[in-house]
Parts: sequence; structure tokens; C-alpha cells
Amino acid sequence: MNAIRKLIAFALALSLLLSTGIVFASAEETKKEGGEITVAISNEPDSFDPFIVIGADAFNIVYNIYDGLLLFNPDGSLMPGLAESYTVSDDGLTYDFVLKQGIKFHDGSDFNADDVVYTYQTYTGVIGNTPVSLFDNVNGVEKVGDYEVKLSLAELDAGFPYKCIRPICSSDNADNETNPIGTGAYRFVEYIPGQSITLEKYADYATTDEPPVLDKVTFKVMSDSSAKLMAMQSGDLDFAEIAAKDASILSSSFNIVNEVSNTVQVMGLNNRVEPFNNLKVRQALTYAINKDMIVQAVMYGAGIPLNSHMSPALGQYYEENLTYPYDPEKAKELLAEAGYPDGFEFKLVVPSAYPRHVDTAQVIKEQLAQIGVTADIETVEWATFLSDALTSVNSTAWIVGITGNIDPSLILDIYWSKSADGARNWFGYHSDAFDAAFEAAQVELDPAARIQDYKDCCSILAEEVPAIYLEDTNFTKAMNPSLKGYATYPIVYTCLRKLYLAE
Amino acid sequence: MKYYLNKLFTLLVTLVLISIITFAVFQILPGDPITVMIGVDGNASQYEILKQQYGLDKPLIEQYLSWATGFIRGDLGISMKYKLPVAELLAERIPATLTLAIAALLLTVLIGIPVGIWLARHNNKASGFFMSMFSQLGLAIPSFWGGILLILLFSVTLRWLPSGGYVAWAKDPIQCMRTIALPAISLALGTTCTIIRYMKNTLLDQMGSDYVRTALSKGVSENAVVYRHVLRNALIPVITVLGMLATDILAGSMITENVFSLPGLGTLIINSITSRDLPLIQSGVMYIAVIVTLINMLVDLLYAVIDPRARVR
Repeated sequence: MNAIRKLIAFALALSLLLSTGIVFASAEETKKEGGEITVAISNEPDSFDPFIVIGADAFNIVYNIYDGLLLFNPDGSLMPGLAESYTVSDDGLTYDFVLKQGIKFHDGSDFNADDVVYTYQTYTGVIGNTPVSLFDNVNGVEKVGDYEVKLSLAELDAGFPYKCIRPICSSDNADNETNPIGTGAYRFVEYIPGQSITLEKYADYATTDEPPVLDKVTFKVMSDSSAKLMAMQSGDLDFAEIAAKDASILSSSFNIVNEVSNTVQVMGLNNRVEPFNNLKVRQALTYAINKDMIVQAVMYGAGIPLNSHMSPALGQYYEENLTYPYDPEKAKELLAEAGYPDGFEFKLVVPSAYPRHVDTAQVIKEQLAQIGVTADIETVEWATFLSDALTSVNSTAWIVGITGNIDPSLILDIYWSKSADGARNWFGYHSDAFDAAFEAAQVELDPAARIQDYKDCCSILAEEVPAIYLEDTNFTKAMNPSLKGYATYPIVYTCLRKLYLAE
Repeated sequence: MKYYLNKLFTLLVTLVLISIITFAVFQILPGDPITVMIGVDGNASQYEILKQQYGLDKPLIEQYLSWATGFIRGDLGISMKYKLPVAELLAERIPATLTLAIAALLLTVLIGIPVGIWLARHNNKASGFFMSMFSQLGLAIPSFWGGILLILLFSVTLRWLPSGGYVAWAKDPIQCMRTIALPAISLALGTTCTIIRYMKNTLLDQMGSDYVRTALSKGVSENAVVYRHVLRNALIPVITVLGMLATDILAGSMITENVFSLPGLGTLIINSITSRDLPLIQSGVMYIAVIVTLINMLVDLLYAVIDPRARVR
């Protein structure tokens, strides 16, 4: 009897001890080693070849397979990548990169200066004769040592380091399209066109000291938003970008993240034609449009109103409270001053492929009707939109979202009147003041002064409103509650090596 | 023999005309593949370089002829959007569309025809009335809504079937059947109800004719009358409709593919039009033309099997 009592007492004590242990264990989150996730993407990647790829969804995958000389952080700043350091010559025209040693490509071959030389010679068209215009300014690629390379520029470009995030390819690999080989944390396994892209962990990843955790990541091509919702609910999907209005359906069992997208949604205006060539008319339109209402009505609050062509995603260049709040009375005054006391009519073209722009047009039409301006909405298919509205010199007004970049010069160059044949200057905008500030920033090597130059550019745009700046339409992302480590980047990029599953 | 040679010649001429018209239409339409490639993200100064790379700066006749001669030799060209051979892309997508089509058509025939016959014979009873109502409902439900409801029930709530994606029959027959089940049902909903109503109506039509009254008065059982005499006549219009439905499904059902994330031809062809990917569009259009012709030939053959009058040549 006594022995049994002792046994029971012992058993009780033991279970008490164990249960406290269990409580402690579940109170803190344990990082699970390995694991697999499935991510939805809306568009098929146009290519995996860094020399060809253009689409944002494709870059998302490419930046996980490859590394550049430099890498970028969530706040848009740069950090060492395959280059552990670099120095710039006094005249700013030569960049000397010292490369990291002991890094191998996914196929086991060593990474060294030969690969950098091969990559940049291909980027500049010396090899292969298909140059990437981003590197037009690079006129010399020189191997200094096994782990040192010099890149020379024809003209001073203070933003050049931003261009060095571009992938470095192996000089031994001829086919980057079907067999992409990089040094990144994840290696390419398979691509089934129309269906999925599979990546798996690269165990010998050494470019940064953040080793990848997840064993396998599968990207599934899914464009239908209801299909995505249901795939998440049935457990087939762990991570997806969803429509803002669907967030409430998933919020009870999934983590929802609303993040800035570094996209500027604009109502673009053709500054070459009447009445948009008149500053007062453009100002009147800005005063007449209530951006907060658009954010609420179209994006269900998941958006940030903008006053210039810069999203808060690039925090250091972004300024709040620039000119022109919502003031319809002032708008009517300005219209009368400009010579349109009874308003006017214009054609507003929107792409049917993007319902949010179509919806925004409806709200704007209502708001402009208050000041006597009639917007005739025309919905067209994407290719037609690109050729007839965006890039045509005969366009009038359109609504589109313009993707951002890490490098502010690649965001603001669309307003520069001297860009290659004015190719991207969709608005037909020309301002000497803007050109001066923009060109000053290009050659300004002092970071603080450069930031100020770009801020000046934004102020000028805010005052002259060549386009009506609407909002940064947030991304809404839903993820499996055990998926951790997600960080928002200023471009469409999910850093897979930071992700892990918690117990 | 001459008959079939004639048909072949007509098919060839049709294909040539279709390819010329398609090519012409896409030259007239606003937008070109390079503009779409560059879009809003890309660098517009790449335009001329890319145009040259893809041979779009050559004269139009040269562009068409180089495509045509390649096509005759079996080289369908390279897709501008996917940078892969068109033949490969089509070969990847045809299995999914084919499997879906076979599954949906099987369901349609195996359910549609018997139910149609049953409805015709129970036309005046309450059961007939209710089944008729259901078939009307099936026609009214839009396929994407039906598809979403099916996913909601079978994938999200019951977790019996996957919510999307496709596994090839060759890779894993069981998984293939699981992934194709819901899309096939969602497609078959509309087509089955169409066939049910056609079958019922033509059967009822036939049942009212003189020869039926004669046979019945001669003492032939109603079963024998229906299955041995009337059915053959009633099937002719039904086969015509089936042919049309089959062509529709085989050309790619984009909505179903979208909802169930199936890598089928419908999505491929529509996407190729959006990106103005001419090599892919041309081959896609050729494929549809061939399918339509083949199915028409099949329907003609079936007529000959069922209807002796059609056999006299």
C-alpha cells in the first residue's frame, strides 16, 4: 500500500514537472528546420535569364536564385553581396569591387572575377550583342585579380551602385533560360509552364550569413482571386497576394499584411495637348479630386494618398504634405481663371485588365462632375492601352499604376525631357527646373545632397502636377500563421531565405 | 475516295486563309508584342533592340512567309512571350485540355442521353417535372460560379478533392482523376443539361410521328419502339449539338481553366492574344481550325453509322 502510494506520488510529481516543461516549450516559438511552402503568383515569369527578364513577378524569383555584386535591404539601402566592398575613384567614373571568396555556384563551380567579367560584358553587349540598356553607361569591364574587378563608366552616375544588384551569372553556363544557375539561397529545380516553379534550398549558400531554412518553395501560377482564396482555405497555399476586400474573409485564420507597394497610381495627362498644357487646369483637377475617398472606395482603405511621384516605400526621398489638398471651390476658381468657366470634356482611358483603375476612373468621374468637368471613360484591353494611351503622343488622359524601383532615378526619369529619345516620357512633360534637379542628382556623390536633389524633384512635380498623383495602392498579403520572417521590400521581392515555419 | 480528298483540299485552303487573316488582323490591331513585353516596368529604349531581336523590323510579307515555311516543315516557331518553342508549349497544354474534354464529354453523354430519354418517357409525371426543372437550373448556372461552389464544398469544407492544379494521367492516374473531377463536373453541368433537353425534345418529337403509332398498334413494346427505332432518329440532332459542344471544350475553356488553375489551351491562347504573341496565336488558331474540321468529319461519320440514308454516296 505504502509502495503504491509512493509510486502514485512519484508519478504525479513527474507529470507535474513534465507539464511545466511543456508549458515553457510552447510559450516560446521554435524555428522548425526545413519545411515546404507554396506561394501564389499572378503572372507567369517571362524568363529566368537575367539578361532577358523584364517582368516584376519574374524578378521576384530571379533575385532568389541569383545574387548581385550588391544586395538590397527592406528599407532600400544596399549591402555587400558577391562583392564584399567597393571603392569609387575621385572622378566617380571607376568602381573597384573586391569579391568574396569561397562562394560556389549551384552546379559546384567556383565564383570568381571571371564570372563578373562575363556577366557585365554580356550586360553591355560585348558578349552576345544583346545589351541591357540599363548598363549603357558602362564602357569598361576589367579583371584586376582573381577576386577583383573594375567597372568604368562613360559618365558620372551616382546611382550606379543600385544597378549592381543585378544578377551575376556563371561564365560556364550557356543556358540561363532553362537551367538558371546562380549563387543565391535557392536553386532552380523545375518550371512547368502555366503551372509552377519549384525552388529548393541551396545548402552551400555563403553569400550572406543568413542561411536559408525552408527546404522547398513552390510558386504556383494562379490568377483568379477566388481560386486563391479557396486554395488558402483548403491548405493548398501558404502565401498569396489577395484583393483588399478579401482580407476580412481570411483574417480569422491567416496573418494579413498590408504593405506599401512602391507603386504610384496616377491619372496621367498628356501635357502636349489642350487643356492639359495649362498649369491652372492641372492644378484645378488636383484640387477637385478627393484622394482619401478613392482609397476608401476602391482599395477599402488599403492605400496611401500621394502628392507627388514618390511612394513612402522609399522613406528617405518621400515628403509628406506637399501642395494641393482637396478643395473643389478652389478648383472651380482656377478653371475659370484658365479660361474654362463652364468646364470641359475629355477622354479618360483605363485598362480592363486592372479593375482597380477602372473603379478609380468611376470615382474620379463623379468628383470631376462637381466642378463641371466631364470625363468620358473608355475601357480598353492591355496591349491597346499601352500603345494607344500610354505611349501615344495623341493620348489625353489615362489611369495606370507605375511600378517603383530601389533607385529613385529609375522612378523619376519618366519626367526627364532628355531620356533616350524621350522614350519613357509618357506625359510629354518638360521642365527646366526639374531637368536641372534631376541631372544634379545623377552626378551628386554626396548621399545627403543627392537625397535633397531628389526631394526637390518631387516638390517640383507636386507643384506642376504633370499627372494627378492618386495613391500607393497597398499590397495585401495573406500567409499561413506559422510562416514567419516575412519582410517588405520596396520592389516585388520576397526574400525566401528569411522565411521559416514556427512550431 | 474522291470525297475525302476533296475534304482534305478544302481543309488546307481553309487553313491557309485563316493564317493570312490572323496575321493581317494582328498587324492592324493596336499594340505589338514588344510594347507589351516592355509594359510599364521595362525600359522603353530597349524597344528597337528587342524589335530587331524578334525579327519584327522585317517587311510584313517576309515575316509571314518565314512563319509559313517554318510551319509547313513542322517548325511552329518560338513564342515571344515564353521564349520557348511553340510546339513544346502546345504539347504541354494539350493533355490538360484533352483530359478535361474527354471527362466532361463522357459525363455529358453517359448522363445526358439516358436522363433525356427518361424525361421524355416520364414527361407527364411529377418526377419528370422536377427533373426538367433541375436541368433548367443546370443551364442557368454560370460555369465559374458552379465551379467555385464545387470547390467550396469539396475542397474547402469536405477536403476530399484539391482546389486546383493538374496532374497528368501519365504521371499519376489517380491524382489526375482527382484534379480533373471538379472542373469536369463544372463544365459538364451546362453541356449535360443542354443534351438532356435536346434529347428529350427530339425524342418527344419523334414519338408523335406516324411510324411510332403504327409500330405500337402492331403490338411492339414501347421499350422496343424507343430503343430500336426512335432513338436512332432522335440522336441525329443530338449528335450535331454534341459536336458543337465538343469543339467548344476542345478549343479550351478559359473560365474553367482560370477557376481551377488548369494549364490548358484556353488560357494559353487568350494570353497569347493579350501579349500579341503572333507565333503562338497562329499555331493556336490552326489547332482550333483543325479540331473543328476533325469533329465535323467525325459527326458526319456518325451520321452515316446511325442513318442509312446518309451512307449513300
